[in-house]
Amino acid sequence: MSDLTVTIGEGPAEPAKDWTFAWIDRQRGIGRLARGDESLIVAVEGAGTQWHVVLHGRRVPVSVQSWRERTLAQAREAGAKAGGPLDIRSTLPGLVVAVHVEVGHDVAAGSSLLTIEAMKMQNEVRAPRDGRVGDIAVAAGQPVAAGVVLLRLE
Amino acid sequence: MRKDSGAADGIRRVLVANRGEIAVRVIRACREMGIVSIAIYSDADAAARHAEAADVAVRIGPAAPSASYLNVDAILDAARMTGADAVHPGYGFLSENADFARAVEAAGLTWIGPPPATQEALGNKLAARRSASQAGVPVVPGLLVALDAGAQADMASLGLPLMLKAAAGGGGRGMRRVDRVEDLPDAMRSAAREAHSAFGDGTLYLERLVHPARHVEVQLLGDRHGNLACLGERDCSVQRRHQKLVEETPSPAVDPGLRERLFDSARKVAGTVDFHNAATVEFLVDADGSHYFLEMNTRLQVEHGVTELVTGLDLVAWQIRIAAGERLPAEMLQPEPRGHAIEVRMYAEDPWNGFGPVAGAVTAWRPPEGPGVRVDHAVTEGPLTTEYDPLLAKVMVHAGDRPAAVARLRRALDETLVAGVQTDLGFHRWLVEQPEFVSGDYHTGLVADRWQNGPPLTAEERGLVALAAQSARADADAQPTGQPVAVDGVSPWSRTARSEALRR
Amino acid sequence: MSTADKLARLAQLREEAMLGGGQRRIDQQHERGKLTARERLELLLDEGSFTELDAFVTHRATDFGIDQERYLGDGVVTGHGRIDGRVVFVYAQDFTVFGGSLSEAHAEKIVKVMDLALENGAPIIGLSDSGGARIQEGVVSLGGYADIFLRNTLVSGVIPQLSLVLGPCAGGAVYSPAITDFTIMVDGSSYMFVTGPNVVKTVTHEEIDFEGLGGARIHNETSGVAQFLAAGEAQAIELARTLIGYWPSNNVDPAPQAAEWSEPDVSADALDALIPDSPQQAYDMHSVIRGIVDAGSFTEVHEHFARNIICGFARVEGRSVGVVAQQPEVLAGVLDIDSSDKAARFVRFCDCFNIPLITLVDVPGFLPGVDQEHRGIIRHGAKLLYAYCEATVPKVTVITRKAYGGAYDVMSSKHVRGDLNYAWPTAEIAVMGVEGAVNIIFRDRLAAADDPDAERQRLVADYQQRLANPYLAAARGYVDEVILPSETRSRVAGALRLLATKRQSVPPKKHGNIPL
Repeated sequence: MSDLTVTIGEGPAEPAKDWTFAWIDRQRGIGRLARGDESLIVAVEGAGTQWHVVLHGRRVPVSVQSWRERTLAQAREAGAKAGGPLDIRSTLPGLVVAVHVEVGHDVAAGSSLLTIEAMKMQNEVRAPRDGRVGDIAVAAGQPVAAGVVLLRLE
Repeated sequence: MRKDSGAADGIRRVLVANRGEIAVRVIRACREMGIVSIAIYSDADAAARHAEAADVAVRIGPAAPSASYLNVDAILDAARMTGADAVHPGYGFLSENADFARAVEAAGLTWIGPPPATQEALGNKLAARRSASQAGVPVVPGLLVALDAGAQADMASLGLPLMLKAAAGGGGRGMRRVDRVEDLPDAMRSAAREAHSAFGDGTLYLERLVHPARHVEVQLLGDRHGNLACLGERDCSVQRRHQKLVEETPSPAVDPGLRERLFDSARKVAGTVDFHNAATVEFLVDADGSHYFLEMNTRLQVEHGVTELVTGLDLVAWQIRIAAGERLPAEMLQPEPRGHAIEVRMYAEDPWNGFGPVAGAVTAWRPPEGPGVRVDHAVTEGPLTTEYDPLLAKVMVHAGDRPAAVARLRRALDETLVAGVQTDLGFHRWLVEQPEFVSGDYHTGLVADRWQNGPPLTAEERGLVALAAQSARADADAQPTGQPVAVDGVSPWSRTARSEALRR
Repeated sequence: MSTADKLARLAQLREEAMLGGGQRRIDQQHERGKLTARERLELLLDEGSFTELDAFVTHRATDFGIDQERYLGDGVVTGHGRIDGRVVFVYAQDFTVFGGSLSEAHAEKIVKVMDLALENGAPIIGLSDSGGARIQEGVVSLGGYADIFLRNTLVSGVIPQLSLVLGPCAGGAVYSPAITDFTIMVDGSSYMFVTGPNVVKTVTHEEIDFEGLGGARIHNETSGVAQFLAAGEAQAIELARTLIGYWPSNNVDPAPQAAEWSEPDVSADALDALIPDSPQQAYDMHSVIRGIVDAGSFTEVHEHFARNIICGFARVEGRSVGVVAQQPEVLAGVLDIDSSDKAARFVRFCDCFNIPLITLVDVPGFLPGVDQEHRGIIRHGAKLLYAYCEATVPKVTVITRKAYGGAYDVMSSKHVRGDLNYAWPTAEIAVMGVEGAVNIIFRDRLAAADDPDAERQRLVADYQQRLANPYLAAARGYVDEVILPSETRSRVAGALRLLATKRQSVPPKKHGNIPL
């Protein structure tokens, strides 16, 4: 249980130390918090990581995460963010017909960076992830071999 | 005094053209009087409390109010079909709609409420203000005629700040506070637009803003024979955005002299129209104890219950009796209220988020009980209907004096538990601890000035919330999970294994 | 010893086993930004579902003073648990014990869970983080590897096998992930190579670092050894859970079905507007995939390798499918050595585990060139052809644009037992591209023409009109139906429902001889 961390709003919340919690009606989510001769009736609803506690008539959203859920959630967030620099290379020999971005541009995953004509086809080179265009190594009209760095995504 | 029971002559079947707690309230009165109650319900309300409580329940249409509780034809059809002989409109919906009242009477049914012409006359707030003024009732300084865009030269002479109001208004809609003369054109445009969309009439007028002020109203009951009773006043000064949250009677701000002046003004306003049945005359009272007429509402008010608690009368029953033609007995014309009563309204809304609307399902509902507590509600555990007014319950307390009533209210709120949706409960629990409220010395600015967006959770509250959530989660994790248990022969894999084993 | 003492002794041993190579080494692992074996398993498996086996196993070696150093578990944590409620067997090498090196006892533990996985028809997931063989044990350690390789091979196609390389994996050890169905590597922290940079330098005088020789990017982009690239360990583990969700537990049981799903991310109308008017212009085939499969359900396999073909798992109306699709944006979607290998192995995985195949075709043919021919495009292209011919799972094909030459035959055509084959009105099913065809058929006529270019244009237009469309194929029944792009999702979903009970077989044989 010490493994379960609680977040209220943006920040972590430390469970009250000297109080105890017990269910009165688990089915309907009614419980009692007690300390000495003080006691409070609270309602607790939720499942998994998302809970609501009604205390003093205020319904407060609370997140309760295990170590595992916290770590996986962090990984998910980290995955959504951009990583380190990434070299975008040509996959085929061809002719750069157009460069659609400039140094310093922020690009979204899937947006077109440049167009290379090869095998009689216009091939779009797309950003594999979100990022900022660092260095552009080629210009329109320039022939490129396979595997050369076209630009760098920061 | 005539006993508060027994049937009304000529009214045997009442159709209740409303829903929620007020419909339940009217049905209860009918029950006690031996009258057959007929509920109407929309598709969203098939399982609602009022439909269950009535003797007869009729489906009236789809969830949208315009197709159900505002659908005059459908309601009259239901009345015909069920053999109703009277219609009680509750409050809200069609309760102040004179056309509906006329249609009810045209259908040969008794309208339980003030006459349609009276409703119409008082429905125009500006006209009512004009006639009240003519009758010698003080009104808030300001215009007695409709505001038109050109006539703003002498606005400043009224004294700033000003309140823009809609002639057809109510419920705070079409109202704007104007602090600077140059803000007026913009405020007029947006108020007119709002009033037009809410009431179909964008006519506006201007009053000086009275601040600080208390909102005090007088409950009237009049029979068809010219008898008029003033059943005391109610103080409705705890408001947010011009909507009432708490009402109490008597008003801590009203002394016997002021009470007499308020009753006198209320009688005069009622005298400007042909009035019978129940109505409320609303006033503002400023810091000097001067009172100003605001408007007269020709229906039962949400907060009628506190008056019932201190007078011991059943206002709904009397509405029905008056509609049936009964006289008010002499004793009622001089009522002697006993003790003090307070009501708090519990809405499904989030006081920590500008009292904004919330959605969800009520997962647990434990209303308060015990001595001196009355709860009018129609809450059922389950999803909330979002199509209608978000009022969940009215918690009322009655005690010998105001301090005892406040203590009782605090106790009742302590007992109250609602889970699944955010409500005003936390606001009310805050309110009963505020010195202004405890002393009774508060005004209509209390919520805006002191609550704002509500106090943040204290460190201790955070700890308690965290403990409750963590404990509940740990407990849920410890319950058996109901994971699938592999059974030999059930999965294709084990079936194949079995048949291969038997082949040898 | 009292009973209480005996119970206490067990508790003490359990605690000791949990520490692996000791707190100091656990801290070191954390400092490197890596999780311990037990933490990894806790992440991988449903909350609290991991059950450990053989926690008290220790090595039996005595040479070189190693008998002075024994750790409970001997460098690998094995057992079983659940992923989304379904049983899986797992092992995770523990770098804190002898650098995760493989001893005889260590190998025996892995072999035990593999045998259990096979008997119970549940997937096996291996988490590698090992310096290699336990050198002190010599040939016994090599024997241990071989025992694992043998089982990897025997269970192949019976239960899904997934490898996560979360640290070094060198020498013989690489062949276990290589035989398993899929390998996930972590950017910056996992390496695979047969011989390390030092040996490479001695033998070939090439200077290269770990990352450049066998890092996660190299194996995902260049060698194709790994199918998945994760940004971190936790992401790799999430991915493993996602993949298990697509697969049945074994080759007999059905794949799990998602209880809830939503309509595709790309609207049907957007598909109608997708194909550019000019055949020289590319489009992103991912849009077509996302216009067919349930919203958010697509997970790409080999995303960074041979990008001219797209392979991946998805769901249609909650049911698992494998998607193979040309990517016109990369090399015009041509079939070459790498893309043939990539798709062939994917098709065979789906066939092993009864996962229906959706094939989206826009292929100009096989890649011409000396390099390709000399490196054996014939041999490699044959793998994909073989895989499609052999597959008996439901096969639904949609030709979006080009289907030229032999590549048309390969790509799940009617002739290789495609069950339901659809074509968009934009499809061109032909022996070769229009211009090429005209140049060959009308060589003499073009040579004789006064204005060869004008004549060529006229002939091209004529050919285009007559042959470069789906209707000749439809007239023969090679295409079951020509459909609007916007109808694709509903047709494919309907086809999969229809084919759920498909029964088709290959002649009895020990196994076929796929060209390798």
